[in-house]
Amino acid sequence: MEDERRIPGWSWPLIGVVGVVTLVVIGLYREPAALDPDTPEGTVQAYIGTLVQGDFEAAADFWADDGCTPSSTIPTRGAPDVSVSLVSVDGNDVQANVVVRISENSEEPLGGLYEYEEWFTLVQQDGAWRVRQPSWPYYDLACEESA
Amino acid sequence: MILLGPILFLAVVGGLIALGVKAWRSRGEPDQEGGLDLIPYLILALAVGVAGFSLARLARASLTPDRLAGRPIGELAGALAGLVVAGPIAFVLWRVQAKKRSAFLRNPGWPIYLAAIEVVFLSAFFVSVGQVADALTGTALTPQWTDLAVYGGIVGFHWWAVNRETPYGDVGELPRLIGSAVSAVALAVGSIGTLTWLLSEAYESLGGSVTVPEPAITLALLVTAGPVWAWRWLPVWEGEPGVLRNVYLSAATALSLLMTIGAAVTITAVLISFLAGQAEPAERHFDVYPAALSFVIVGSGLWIHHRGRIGDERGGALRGYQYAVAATGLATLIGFIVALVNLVFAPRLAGGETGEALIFLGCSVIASGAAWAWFWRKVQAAPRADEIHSLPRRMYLLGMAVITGLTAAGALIALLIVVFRALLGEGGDVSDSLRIPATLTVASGLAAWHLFTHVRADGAQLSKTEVEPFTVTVVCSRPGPLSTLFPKEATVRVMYRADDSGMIDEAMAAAIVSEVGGRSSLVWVDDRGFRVAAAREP
Repeated sequence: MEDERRIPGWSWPLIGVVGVVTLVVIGLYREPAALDPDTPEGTVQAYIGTLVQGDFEAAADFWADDGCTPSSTIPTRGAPDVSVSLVSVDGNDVQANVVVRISENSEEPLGGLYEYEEWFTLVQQDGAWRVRQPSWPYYDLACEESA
Repeated sequence: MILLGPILFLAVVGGLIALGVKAWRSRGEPDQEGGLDLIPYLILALAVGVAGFSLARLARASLTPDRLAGRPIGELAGALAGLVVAGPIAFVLWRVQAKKRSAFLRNPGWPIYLAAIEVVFLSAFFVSVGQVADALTGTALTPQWTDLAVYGGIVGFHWWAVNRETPYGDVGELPRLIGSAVSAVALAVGSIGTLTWLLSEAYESLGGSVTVPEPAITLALLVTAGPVWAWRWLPVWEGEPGVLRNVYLSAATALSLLMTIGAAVTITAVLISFLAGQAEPAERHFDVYPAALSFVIVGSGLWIHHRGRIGDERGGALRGYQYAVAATGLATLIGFIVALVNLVFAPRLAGGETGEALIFLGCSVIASGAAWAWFWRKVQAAPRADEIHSLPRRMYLLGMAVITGLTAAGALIALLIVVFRALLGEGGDVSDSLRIPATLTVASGLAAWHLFTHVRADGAQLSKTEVEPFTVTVVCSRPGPLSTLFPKEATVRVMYRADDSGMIDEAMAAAIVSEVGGRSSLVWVDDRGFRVAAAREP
């Protein structure tokens, strides 16, 4: 009862609103993590960054020479409008798997948010990590064996 | 689709306005009856659920350091929308219901709401404990600690609220029971996983070949669920156990025994198949032992604890436990018999290593049959006059009789379809198609016949028993359906309490009728349940 007298009832919603607004501001202005580009996760970050910015030629430079690569450097639906977070990294010095969670807004106002996980397989090539057989976001493109 | 947006918007805004107007009008004027209050608490639970999960989503999008690219606009928008709609509803309803509770302490809506929150958010909390443990020790890099904080905070807040306003009566035990159940499951998973890890390490060090599981998640569950379970379940419970606590005790005891029996059957079958030469090399053959032994150890520990809580007095909990195991034993006996017969007579063209499966099914048939026979004998040895009135016995006999009878009828239809197709000229060997329906018809039919025999015997004994007129005086605040459940020989007098404690619901009414058992009695109902005392015959 003393607690109730000390803290007015309207203060709880105020605290809640302030907390929510703070979280939203942090979420909007926080920069993506700065990962080491020499690591598998850093390579995936740089690769996705070039795709999001629409620099598809630079993105294609991240592709490994061997395996199947898309027949065009331009993704199926152009530059993806997504936010990407890291889920896990697994592997060794030669090959690594990086799993990310991708959130993609629907173009419909009430279409909601698509969330899915994508796997990137990376291999060491010429001292750097390269994305092997990239599928995201090149879903509908035929691929060509280049090695 | 074009109209969907405005309609949804208007519906949400209209609902909010209506809720606000209602809350404003009813401020300081709790209704005279109090009622069950379920609808407001249901809306409150939904609002708290949406707000809680939206807050977790918002915190995850804003605070976890795992963003590689882009801004989390979609996540923030979704979480904000949920919070803007559900947050005010939750806040307003919480305050309205708090005022109402101060006037009507014993409304069952409050404990039911608390139980719903406990089952959803305590489960979510344990899931996030496992995810954080996995992230800290596995390949995942960023633990979702925000989920842990939000779900833990919501659970903790409601525990604090319970501490301030303890729910009353039988139904008031529901939140604690739900919390005990959720944490007992998490504790069992954690204990079994941790023991499996330890025993697998031991098995491997002895030369065995086994996949050693990662212990992080199960260890984390063990460490967090143990204290929660101890806090929710172990402290002294007030008063005699009511219907809900009896149901919980029966279910927990029966499930832990069934878990132990199932694992023991696996251990025995693996050993027999090894001795019978139906085995891989020894180091691989026993690789199921670490997990099976863990189930036995944890299951038997839980069984010893809960069986001790039930005691030896033949009350609702003991009956519920015994009939639950008997029912499961009978159902699994039928299932395993059908599987065994099917496997024995299945045509094999070549090879086919069925030895181990046959041994496992044989052991399962024996264990199921033994469990059913053991508990059926126990319940049959109990004094019949009391037993035939008991709710667990009626549920067992009638429920299982209907289920096995319908199963037998369905299997017979399937059997006759095969027979008629053969008679009407469809060629080929039909014996393969007959095996399962024929076995199921016979096994279920025999079980149904056995059960219906006892249903008839109980009915005959009930009608033979000459019930003398008797008087039951009930002291309660609301008799509910009580008077309709007593036989016509009963004269029921109700003395109303001045307060709101002692409401009788359907389950309690059935329990009272069973406990009174045709004798003149005085029944006292309060917030701790009911008590029955013998009264002088009229």
